[in-house]
Amino acid sequence: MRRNLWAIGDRNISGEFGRVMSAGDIDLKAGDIKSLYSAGDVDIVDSFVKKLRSAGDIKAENSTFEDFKGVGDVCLKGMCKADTFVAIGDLSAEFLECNVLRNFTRKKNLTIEGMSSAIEWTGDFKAETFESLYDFNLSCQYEFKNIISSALLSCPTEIVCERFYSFGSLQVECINAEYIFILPKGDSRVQHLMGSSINILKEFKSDKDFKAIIKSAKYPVFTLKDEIMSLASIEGDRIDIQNVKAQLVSGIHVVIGDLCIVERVEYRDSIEISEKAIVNEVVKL
Amino acid sequence: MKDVNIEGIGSIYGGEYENITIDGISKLKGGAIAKAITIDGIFKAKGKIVTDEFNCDGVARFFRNIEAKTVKVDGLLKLRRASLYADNIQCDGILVCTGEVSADNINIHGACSVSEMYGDKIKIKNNEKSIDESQIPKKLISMSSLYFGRKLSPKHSLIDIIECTHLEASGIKAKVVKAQSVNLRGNCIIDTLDCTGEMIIDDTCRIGKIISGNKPKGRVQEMKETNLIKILDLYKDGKLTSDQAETMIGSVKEIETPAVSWEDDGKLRVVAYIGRRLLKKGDTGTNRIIVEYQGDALDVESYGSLSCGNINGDANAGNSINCGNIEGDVKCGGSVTCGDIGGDLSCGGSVQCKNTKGNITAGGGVHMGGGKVGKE
Repeated sequence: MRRNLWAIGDRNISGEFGRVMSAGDIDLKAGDIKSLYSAGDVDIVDSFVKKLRSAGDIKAENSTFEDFKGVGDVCLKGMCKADTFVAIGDLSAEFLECNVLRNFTRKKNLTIEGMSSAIEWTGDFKAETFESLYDFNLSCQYEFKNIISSALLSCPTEIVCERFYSFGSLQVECINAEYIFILPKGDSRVQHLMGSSINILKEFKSDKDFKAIIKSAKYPVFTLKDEIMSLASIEGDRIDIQNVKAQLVSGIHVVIGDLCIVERVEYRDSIEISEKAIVNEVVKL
Repeated sequence: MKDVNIEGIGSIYGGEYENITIDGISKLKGGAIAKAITIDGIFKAKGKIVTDEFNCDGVARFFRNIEAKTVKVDGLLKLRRASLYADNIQCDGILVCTGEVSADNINIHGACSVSEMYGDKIKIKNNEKSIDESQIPKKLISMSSLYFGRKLSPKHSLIDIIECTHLEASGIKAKVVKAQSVNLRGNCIIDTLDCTGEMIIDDTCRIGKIISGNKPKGRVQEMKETNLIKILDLYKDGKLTSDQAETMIGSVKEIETPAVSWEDDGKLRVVAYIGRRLLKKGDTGTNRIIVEYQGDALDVESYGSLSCGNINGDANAGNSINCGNIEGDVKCGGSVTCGDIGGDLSCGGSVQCKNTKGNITAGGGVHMGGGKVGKE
């Protein structure tokens, strides 16, 4: 039977514990903890923590977590793993591998004093799903299978993943994904979109593929009022767009929906152009 | 006016009739005007026909134009070196015309081979069984052009030129299609498609060349203007609401680099924007902008306040000037604090300078050197 620990003040602990509640700095070495609640700095080395809730800076080295939520700066060394990893604050990691990686709280209308206008992480990250709920600059090394962004997402290089969902604004040079869904925001700046299935639509309703993605936040039905997103080019197999201004749209099956202004559309098999769209040139490949 | 009813073999002379009904084999000698013409047998006419209602359930051959309000073809209607003009045409049989077929509404659910087809709404759905049901021997179909003057095909309805507002077609083969909106399905083969509006083309169709819109070749500015015109046209046609049109116009007017209204003259300009709007002289807020320039300047023109070193030329500021010596003239909406002024000084507020060689016009006090000069 694991013992519980209430710690007030700085403590060094190791071994197996059930619940650890700490108001003070904690130094954990070679530990196995079911749940750790800390208000203070935490230093973890070679340990397993099933559930961690921390308000304070966290340093971890070669450790594994199941459910990690930290508010404060997080510095990870060595190889760290987690099931769900939520970091609200700066995060730097030599290598972090997790199922779900998130950068802010799910609670709406929450502001944190001292938080910078956009989060930027450093290091190497690998995750099944990356959820961005706060303005984020994706300048770190990453390998994400799914990216779901509900706030401003910027990236100095190309964003590459399997499934990409954006419900906020984008400041990206290029997005290359198998499946892309973007809500067309007027202040988004994307140059090129490339993918198998590309959808830029005013309304998002969760479908079975989206429901199948492992994630930690809930995403309601998104409906956007009329704004027009500008892009240079869209290239894909199946393309379905609305409220888009683009120079070139090229695909196999192309649907140009309402309020689109496209200079040139290239299609191979089928095309549909709404009467509320303007297309200046159509070329069959 | 009398009715004419032919149940056997007979001829009809040209003239005005109430109803002409052909149930046998008949020939019209001359032109005829009638309220209704119904053909259930075999009919040949070498004169022009004008009628309200034209029904063809048999085989009819015409060598002059037909003008009617409604045309209904359930059999075979052939026009050789002639045209068919109507308000509405409904064809469930076979229609062959080497001239023009023109109507507001054309609905063909059979087979046709027409040189030119003009209309408002044209709906063609080729029915491969129509030719089978017509009992034309299959071996003779390949020689159909000899008899009909045009080739017939069971797989496609053949039309050389189609011009209409809206085209909905399945199983047609056309050389040129010009329409505002098209919906093409079912193995359509079009050489050239010119469509300005909605376009739905499924993957079974083969289109040679598509011309869409009136994009002028040339500069980005011309393309932008064309897009603006198209947006306004869509709004006028009721396809866009005013909000939607405004949103689209806003996106067309967005330019990657904002246009500037001055020449590339080598002058340093410091400009301010609120959002994407360039602040101009007199705009609210311009007087709160202070530009500080390190070093000397040649001529200075500022709509806000300016702070710099010596000015070798003239100085013109919307608000205040704080600088070294000014060799030329000074015009300032607010106050001036500077060294020596080589030219005239005109200032809305107060002046504090060392010395001035020209005239002074100031709205407030003037302090020169160590002394004080009263208001002018």
